[in-house]
Parts: sequence; structure tokens; C-alpha cells
Amino acid sequence: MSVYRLGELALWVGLGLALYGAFVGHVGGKRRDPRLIESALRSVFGTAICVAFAYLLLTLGFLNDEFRLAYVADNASRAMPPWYKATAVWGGMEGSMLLWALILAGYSTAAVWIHRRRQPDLAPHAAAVLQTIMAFFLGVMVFSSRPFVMLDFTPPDGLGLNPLLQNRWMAAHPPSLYLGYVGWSVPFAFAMAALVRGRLGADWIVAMRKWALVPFLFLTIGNLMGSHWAYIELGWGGFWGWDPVENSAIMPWFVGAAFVHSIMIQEKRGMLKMWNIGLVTAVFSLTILGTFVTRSGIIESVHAFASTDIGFIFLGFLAVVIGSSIALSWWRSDLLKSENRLESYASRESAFLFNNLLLVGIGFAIWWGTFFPFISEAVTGERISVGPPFFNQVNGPLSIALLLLVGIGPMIAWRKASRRNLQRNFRIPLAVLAVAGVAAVALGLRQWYAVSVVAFGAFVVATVVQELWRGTRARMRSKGVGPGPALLGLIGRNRRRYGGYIVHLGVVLVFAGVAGALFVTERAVRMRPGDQVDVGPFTVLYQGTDVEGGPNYTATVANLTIRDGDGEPRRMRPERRFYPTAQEQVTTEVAIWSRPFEDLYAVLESYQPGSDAVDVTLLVNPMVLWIWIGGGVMVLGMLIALSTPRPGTRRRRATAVPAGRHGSEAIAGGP
Amino acid sequence: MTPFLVLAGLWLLLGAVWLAAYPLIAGGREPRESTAGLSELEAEKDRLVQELHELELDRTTGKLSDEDYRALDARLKRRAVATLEDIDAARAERPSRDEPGRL
Repeated sequence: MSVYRLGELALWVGLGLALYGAFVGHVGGKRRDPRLIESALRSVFGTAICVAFAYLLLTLGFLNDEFRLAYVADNASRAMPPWYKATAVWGGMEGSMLLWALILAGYSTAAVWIHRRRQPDLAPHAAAVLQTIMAFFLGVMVFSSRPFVMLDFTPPDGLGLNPLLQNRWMAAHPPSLYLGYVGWSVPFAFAMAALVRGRLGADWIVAMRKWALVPFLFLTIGNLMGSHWAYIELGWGGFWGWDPVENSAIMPWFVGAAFVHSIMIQEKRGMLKMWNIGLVTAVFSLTILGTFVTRSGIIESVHAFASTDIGFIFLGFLAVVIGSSIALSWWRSDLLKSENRLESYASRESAFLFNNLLLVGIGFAIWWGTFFPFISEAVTGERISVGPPFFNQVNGPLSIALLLLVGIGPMIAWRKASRRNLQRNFRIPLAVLAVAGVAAVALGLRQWYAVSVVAFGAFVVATVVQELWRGTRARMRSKGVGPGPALLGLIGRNRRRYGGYIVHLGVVLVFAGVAGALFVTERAVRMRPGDQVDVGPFTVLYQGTDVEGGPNYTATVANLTIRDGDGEPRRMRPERRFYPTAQEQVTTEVAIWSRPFEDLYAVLESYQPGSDAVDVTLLVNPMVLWIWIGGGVMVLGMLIALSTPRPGTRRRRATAVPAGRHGSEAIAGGP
Repeated sequence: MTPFLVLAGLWLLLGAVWLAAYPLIAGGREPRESTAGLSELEAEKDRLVQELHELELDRTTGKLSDEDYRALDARLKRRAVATLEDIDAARAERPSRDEPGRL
């Protein structure tokens, strides 16, 4: 018996345990039966063992060139480097499903382990929901998209991984994106558990704060990586093409951002309870939809490399998810009423509400544009596509309004902003906004989007700096320390708040990078050795081609020498690679000279072997570097927010005084 | 090598099933009565302490009027004291280590 047949068995056993845990978790939770509850919680760990074992076997199959496994034969070849063989596990649909299940197993195990004591009422029901999700994915792998199908013969070699996916960013992008997608299962599961148990106060929200931030962090990283991959691998010069699969990854990011903000309102003011249930359901549904879009092939895209019949299975599951959430919310509608009302439009609550409406509005606009071809074809029989102009026209104004709110939200008062509050908090940032806007126009900017980004971006930076300064000053007074220690202490003591502000600074930088796309310079030229061409501030000299070999490809490389004024010349070597596998695919490898305020981007479009002439596209892309720097700053801010200790742990560690002896004096303390 | 790997794999899968089945086979505890455990009260107390701290920071940075600050501070402190009393009562009732969800 081949050891790989155990992979299929592991999936079957895992499916059985998941179905068992889904049933027993609810029954045990309802009866408060410790044996059933423990059994359900342990079923999560048992399922995780099965899934991890199956994943390990499939990885071994790839590393050992086990081409009797049909999935390995379809996605790997002997010539591929071991690193790409390991990442080829998720290069196709079956392995992607297994990666989904593996990540879900990890999240479920961690969530159940951590919350079995902290939320003993919710944990069994949450485990049941997580096991239901797991059962769905294992069911797909057992009945439809099977990773362990054995061929009747052993092919001498495999077809190989799509060369576009043989890139280090693409190797890391899917796991990161899946960590983002799958992570939303945990907040969704606890939301459903809270509905089942009728415990809809702030408890589940507080418990899920970090569980929402973790997938939000990974979605951010995943989208950044995907964008960077598109920029350096696809060779069209941009970083975001509004491709359906890109859109599927960014939709849950926007709605997830809305959720991360709106839970603060429920936590502080007992409002937006129904909205939060709706948001977490929407984010989770969008992650399922994203997987469906990638895997069903309903919308043509460079990413939709799989085209199978499991699309409707995904849609059915999606209907169950949304239907269950609506039914439970209806049942618990009395408990989902707000504890407070919106007292003024000039308030933190109102700013957050508008922020939510904009984020969800952007998410909906992207959803509509992405699925419009599908909807139009279903309704009229004619497939009508909307392209980047639609997305840019709709999301441009919405995103600018959002940028303004990024500045307003953290500064405005809770409940009702007084005239004094408005003057005190907004006088300086508004002055900065005005100066930056005027300066942008004076320096020659005319595009409304770019001017708005400069003005509103400066406004946001001013609000964050002002906020940091005020907090630092207060801490200097209360603790008697200098500005450095006071600032570090302020951030360290309030990591969630100031981590959030750092994320906002990152957002401003990303906006600056995106606005740079309005000023791209492009030249497409045919060059012979010795030819020279000017593009933007650069002079490009072509000096002929080389042919070089890689581990599993042959590359034609154009030698370009770049000069910018009197500076040192720099070499750039764009390539065209030929992969001599069964698919015989050609890819472009662009060359990029990245500088703080512009990238020179060179694409070798084609070459003429006889004359050594090449067709080259040269682009000067302003500010692109700031997208990656801004993304890094956002990730840093999220990590700071995530590092917040659980309330009370720091104090318990420091004092170790029994809770009963703490009086209200223990709650005193400066900023 | 392969027969050994197959056998080890089968034992692993059996272990996964055993893990879930063990609480049922081992038997033991009676159904629980309580719905809100001590750990939840502790978490509530910690959350209120953190909220009071953030309230202070909001006032310092001008996002709460003095009037709102005083009202919210008093309300939170009342809830904190009540939670502390509940914790004391729960500890008096449950001196043993019968924590829910112990695995």
C-alpha cells in the first residue's frame, strides 16, 4: 500500500471528526454537559492532526516527484527547484483547499485552546461552527476536488507549475492571503456562538478584537504581496489592475476594516450590535466568495487558473452561512438593540459610522464591478465587463472622503463634540490642510485627486502628530520624564490606540504612492545595439542581449545602461524566459530601478534574433516605493496594536494581588 | 520503510479519533449549572480597568468634555466595584479548581 493513500483516509477521518464536533459542540453547549463539551473541543484537535498529516503527505509527494499522484503530476516537474516544489502544493485547486483546511485547523485549535476557559459558554458553539466550516472544506476534498487521486501509471515527468507562479512573492502571497481569509472564521464562529447563547454584549467583541486584527493584518500583507508580485512579474507596469481575483482579496479587507473600527463603538457605547454581526458575516462570506471566484473560473482572470464545477458547491455553502446569520439575528433581534442613540452628527460615533459606510460602500462598489459581467450574462445573456475606469471613478471620491475621515475620527469627541473640542483639536490640522493644499496647487499639481491626497494626507499626519504630542506632554508631566521615554511609554501603555494611529500614517503613504500613478510616463521603442532613448529624467542605452540558463528555463536578457544626469550609470537587465515544459510558456521578468520618488521600469517585450533588435517598454512610475513603505508602516502599526497585553495581565504580573482586594484605587493611572 | 510509515500513519489517525472519544469513554463529571464563570468576571474587571484608563487619556487629549468624563468615570467605577464584589462572591462559592472547559 502506498503511504499516499493514507492522505485520503486522513481526510475522511478528519471529515468524520469535524461533523461529529459540529453536532456534539452544539448539543453539549446547550445541555452544559462537560463530557460532550470536552469531546467537541478535542475533536477540533483531532481534526487538526488529520489535516496536518494529509498536508504533510502531499508535500512529501511533491518533494519526492511522486507523479502517480495526479495532482503532483499536474503541478510539478522534476526540474523545478525544491522550494517551488514545496510551494506548488497550493499551486492548484486541490492543494489550495488543503492549505485552507490546514490554516483553519491551526486557527481553530488556537481559538478553542485559548477561549475554552475564557469564554466557556461560547467555546463549544464556536467550536461547532468552526468544525462545520472545516467539514465543508474536507467534504469538497473528499467528494469533488481530491488531492490524493492516484493514476494507473507513473508519468516520467509532471507538467510543472505555471511559470508566473514561480516567483518568491507569489510563493508567499497565497499563504498570507489565506491566513487573512481563513482567520475571519474565528470572529464569525464566535459571533454565531454569541447569537446562539444570547450573549450579545461587549464580551464576544472584546474576545474577538485580536482575532479580527490578525486576519486583517494578514489580508494587508497578502494584498501588498500580491500587488508587488503583479508589479514585478506581470510586466504591464502597474501594481493594481482591478482583476477579479485581486478584487476578491481586497473586498474583505475593506469590510474587515469597517468591522475593526465599528467594534470599538459597540465596546464603548453599546451601539451597532446588529451592524457588527452583519459585518462579520459579510467579511466571512466575502472570504468564501473570494475562494469561490479563484477556484470556480467564472470570471476570466490570470489568477483563475482552475476551472471546475465546484462553484455551485461554494455558492450553496455561502447561502447557508448568510441564511444562518440572518435567521439567528432575527431570532435574537431584541438583544441586538442599541444601548445608546446617536446624539450628534459631530461625534466620534458619527465619524465611525460614516467611516463604516464609506468602507462598506467601497467594498460594495468593487463587488458590483467584479460581478457585473457575471450578473449581466445571467440576466441578459450578454457579458458586459466594466474595467479600471469604473473602479477608479467610483472609488476615487469615496477613498478621498475616507482619507479625510481617517483624520477626523480619532480627534473628534465622543457623544457630542463641543465648539471648544472642535477648535482645540482641529485648528492646527485644518491650517496644515489649507497650507498643504495651496502649496500643492502652487507647485503645479492640477489633478483633484492628487491635490486632495496632499491636503488631506497632511491633515491626517497633523492630527496624528498633535495626538502624539499631547499624550507625550501629559505623560511628561505625570511621570516626570523626558519626551523620548514619555513617547515610548505612551505608545507602550496604549498600543491599540497608537498602533492604530501608526496604521493611519501608513495609509497616508499608500495614498501618496497610489496618487503617483496619475503621473506615469511611458515609452515603447524598438532598439538596436547602441541605440539611446530618453524617458523622464533617464537616458537608456541598449547594448545587446545575452542568453542565460536558469534551473528550469532559458532567458534572453537585454543589457541596458541607464544614466540620470551626471550620476553613476546603472545596469538594468529585463528578461524573457522560456520554460520548456509541456506547457511551453514564456514570461517577462521586468527590471526595476527603484528610487524614493520614481521607479524606472523596463520590460523586454520581444527580441529579433537576427538583428539583435529588441522591443522595450520603459515607464517612469512616480512614488511607487511609498506604497510598499506605507504598507510596511501599516503592518508595523497593526503589530503594535496586536501586542497589547490582555487587560489586567500586566497589572497581575506586577502586583499579584488577589482581585477581591483591588478597589477602585487600582483603576487610577495616568496616560 | 513504507510499511512502517503506513502503520505509524494509521496509529496517528487512530490517536486523533481517540482524542475526541476519550472524554466520553472516561466518563466523569456531572452537567454544569453555572453559565458565567469566574474567568468571565475577571475578564470583565480587566476590561473595565482598561476602559477607565482610556477614558482618562481621552479627557487628557481633549476628546471628552469634563461633564462627560465625570459621568462616564462614575458609571464605569460603579460597574467595576460591582464586578469586584461579584468576583469575591464567586470565589467564596467556588473555592475548588473546578474551572469550566478543563481539558
